[in-house]
Amino acid sequence: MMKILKRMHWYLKLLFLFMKLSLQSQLEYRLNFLAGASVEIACLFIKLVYLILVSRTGESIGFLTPDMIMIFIGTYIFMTGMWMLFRGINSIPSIVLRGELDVLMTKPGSLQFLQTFGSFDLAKTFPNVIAGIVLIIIGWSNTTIAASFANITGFLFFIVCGIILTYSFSLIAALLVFWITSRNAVLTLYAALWDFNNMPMAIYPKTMQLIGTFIIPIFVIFNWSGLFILGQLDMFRIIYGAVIPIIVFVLSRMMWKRGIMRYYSANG
Amino acid sequence: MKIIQVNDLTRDFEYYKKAQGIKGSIKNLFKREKKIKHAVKGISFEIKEGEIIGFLGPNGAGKTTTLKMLSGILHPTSGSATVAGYIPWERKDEYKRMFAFVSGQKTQLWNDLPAIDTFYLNKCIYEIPDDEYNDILNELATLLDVKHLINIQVRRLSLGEKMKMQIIASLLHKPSILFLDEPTIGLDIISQQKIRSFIKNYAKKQKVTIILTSHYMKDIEDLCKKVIVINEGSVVYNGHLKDIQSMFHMKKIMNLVFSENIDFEQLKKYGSIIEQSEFKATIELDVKTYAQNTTKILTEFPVIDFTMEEPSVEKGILKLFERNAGNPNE
Repeated sequence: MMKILKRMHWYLKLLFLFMKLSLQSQLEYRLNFLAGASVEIACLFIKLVYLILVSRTGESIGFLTPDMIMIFIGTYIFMTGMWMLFRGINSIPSIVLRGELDVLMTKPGSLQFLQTFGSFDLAKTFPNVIAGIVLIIIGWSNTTIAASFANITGFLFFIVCGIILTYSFSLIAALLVFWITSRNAVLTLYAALWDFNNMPMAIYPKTMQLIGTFIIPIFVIFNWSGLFILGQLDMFRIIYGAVIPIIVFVLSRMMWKRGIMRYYSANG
Repeated sequence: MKIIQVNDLTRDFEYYKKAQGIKGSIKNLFKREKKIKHAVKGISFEIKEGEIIGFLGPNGAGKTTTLKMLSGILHPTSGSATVAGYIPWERKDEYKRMFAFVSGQKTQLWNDLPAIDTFYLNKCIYEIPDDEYNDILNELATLLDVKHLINIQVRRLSLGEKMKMQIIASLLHKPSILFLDEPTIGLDIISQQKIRSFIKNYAKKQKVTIILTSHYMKDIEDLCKKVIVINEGSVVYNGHLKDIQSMFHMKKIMNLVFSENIDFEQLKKYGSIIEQSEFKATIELDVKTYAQNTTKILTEFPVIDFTMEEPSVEKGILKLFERNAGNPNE
């Protein structure tokens, strides 16, 4: 037990160190850092225009009032920030193609950890994460949903599940580089699937909802936390939402192991 | 005591052939002709603890691929190897803490940050106690004369300075095995000498086992008593350097520039002409007589500029082939 705790402490220490070094590294280019953050804020602004439009019309989507929709959009923006945070994942294709995994492979510890948490894009992450949290808080406080312990715990639990799914799906998309050298098409498809979620899944037809929940469970990332506090998740869906991140994570881990076996490295 | 044992190690890479132009691309879309490149072909050797072994060979010979298999980066297609009792490609943490892989072409330094940040990261990764870390860092930075540079962003350093920082980052955890992959590539002669001198002193003091790959004969001569010459994935020679040194030093290459046309037949008296044009010539001189012949050439011909160089490693290997006549481990 002590050994496991010591190991976890070691990984946690490295995680914070990687974050610190990433931030230091990005701050070296002040203009780039500010430009990156500004572009993200501009993109956020465009997303928020949708939200204002929805709020102004006062129209509900099914059972969702504009304030409830704000919670879903806030979750989407927050998760987009998390997606951007994992620069280590997004850089896998170029790193693999240039054979730059070599040095990391000789370091102690999990190679997957060292690569996927080895660098973070904080300039793009901060605006999204902060804006997402603010929207969730505003939306929630304008509704009659009780801020009870059970609701907050359930909401945070599915947010964590969403982060695990974001990590795993992004990793799977990045790992395709081991099989498909040019994976632009896959990335475009992944980005398009991601953008499907800038509105609650309730606006889509039933068939699409089923596909996005059970075939490619991308809707789980953004909708489950909101649906939980709205009392719209039955026991089956609660269990499904808790189990699917584990399944997808295990799948991504298996893909990682297979992919690394195919790593050819490169000289020069 | 043998620390590295390699038996019949092979590594193949798959690739596809593509004919020139759009026709070839369209053809490839439907049917691809799979080819296999045998990067390393069943090599075997043993290395004793504390030895410095030179891996010599031209580009694409299989040196780096072998080193990558021994450091666990690549899985072999077949064969076996153990390093300090570990199978490298199992990538056990205990093994990874024992060795360091230093490449002249791949960096572990954070380019936009001072090297000290990478050193600190390595301290945390290898869990080096504070006192020990400070002592080693101080010692290595002093030996390599870069104490004043460790707080400067890596991107602002010269190639030689970057390599010195790479070496420090790799040695902080006191590895007992060092894989050095072309550590002097691209460096100027002075930097090359400094790196070589550091490695030599460090190996002597710490008694580490080193495999050094290089296609610079000078690297090998300065550091290694034993050498494994590898060409096209196979071991051409495995033994003492002194026994084959002459193969690489039988000739000297002289590049000449003349102020006017000369009689090349006259020049042939001193060696064999490799290349000639209107005012230029490249001549191969015998190492035994090259001092006298150089003087004669410079006095008898209207030479306005000249350079001397060693023959390429490829030529030395060719001579080895001729000598061994198909008997690699002579």
